[in-house]
Amino acid sequence: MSQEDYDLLLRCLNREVAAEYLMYRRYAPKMFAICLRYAGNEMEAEDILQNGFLRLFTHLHQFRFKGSLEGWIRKIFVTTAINYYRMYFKFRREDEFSTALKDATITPEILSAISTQELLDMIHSLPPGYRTIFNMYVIEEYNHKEIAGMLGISVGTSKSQLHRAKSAVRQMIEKRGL
Amino acid sequence: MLEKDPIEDKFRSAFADREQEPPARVWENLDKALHAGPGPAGFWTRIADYFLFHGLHPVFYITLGSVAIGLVAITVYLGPMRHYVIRGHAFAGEKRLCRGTAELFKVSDKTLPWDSVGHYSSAIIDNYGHFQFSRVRNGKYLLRTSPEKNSDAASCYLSTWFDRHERSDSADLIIVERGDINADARLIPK
Repeated sequence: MSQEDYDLLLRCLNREVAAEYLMYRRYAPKMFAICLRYAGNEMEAEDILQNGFLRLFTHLHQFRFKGSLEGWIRKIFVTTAINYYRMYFKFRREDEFSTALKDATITPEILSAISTQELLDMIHSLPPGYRTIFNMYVIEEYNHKEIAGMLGISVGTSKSQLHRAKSAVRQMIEKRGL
Repeated sequence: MLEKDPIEDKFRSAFADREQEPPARVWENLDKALHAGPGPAGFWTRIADYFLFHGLHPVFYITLGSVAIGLVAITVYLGPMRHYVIRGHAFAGEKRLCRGTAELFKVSDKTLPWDSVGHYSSAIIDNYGHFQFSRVRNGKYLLRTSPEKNSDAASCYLSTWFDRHERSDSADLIIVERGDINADARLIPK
């Protein structure tokens, strides 16, 4: 942890508004990108971002000054995003993509032609349960045991939801490549 | 060795270090939420937050709470709020009195006994001569037992103050302090 981060953290713990703003400016762009992946749309992402920062500033004293501050903050935002959708969806069965889940053949050319915005749109079009597990496994690189623990579901559910999410993404990529 | 999924790699690399500037209104809302003055509910929330998260170690509060609960329990158990039982049997001669009434009078310490006696509670004497007063608080009491009206015992025995006294001013006090009292009453023959 850098001395700069350490000083900023101490000032935030003293509830200095300027320091809080500085902390926000430093981490908001990265955290907003995370929120956008977990959210269904931009408005929801803003809500999650705001809730995440509120949670961050009110629980800052729980940071033990060990390990990466950014990693700790990132985990707060992932948890906030999970909680945001847990309230609404409770990870019930989502059958929108449950039919015709065949693995499509996707060439590297098709993949390389897809822009980041298109990938984000694909994530957004997934139902919240699939989207959350897809984000956690594929991008955050949590394993199924960790995902199951954080979401309060079984490892089997995590695996099956990820499989369905990936199949749905494959379908979307295949359609785009045609 | 597990084969790498090119789709996963594509997503991972696309979003690994992605940044996007949020709209200015997010900070404006956040600033309001963080720095608004505490309302009546907010005030207590902050007090609770301070003690829970900025104060001493949680073990201290758990210990403090346990001690407080212990003190309340001891106070209730030993203190003036504690209730006791006065029970006993009424005897008419050598036999137990079959039905009657037992009356308990509370005696104040402040004045002379005969000026300070007040009715406290009544109980029925059952067929086996047993009576009981539950929920009696610390204090000094007088007990009067009487046979049932128009019974055989009523024709032979007087209403009697504990312990074998005809008048209340000479009766013995039952002192309730820290425990239940057993007070057998014997009626005085006419």
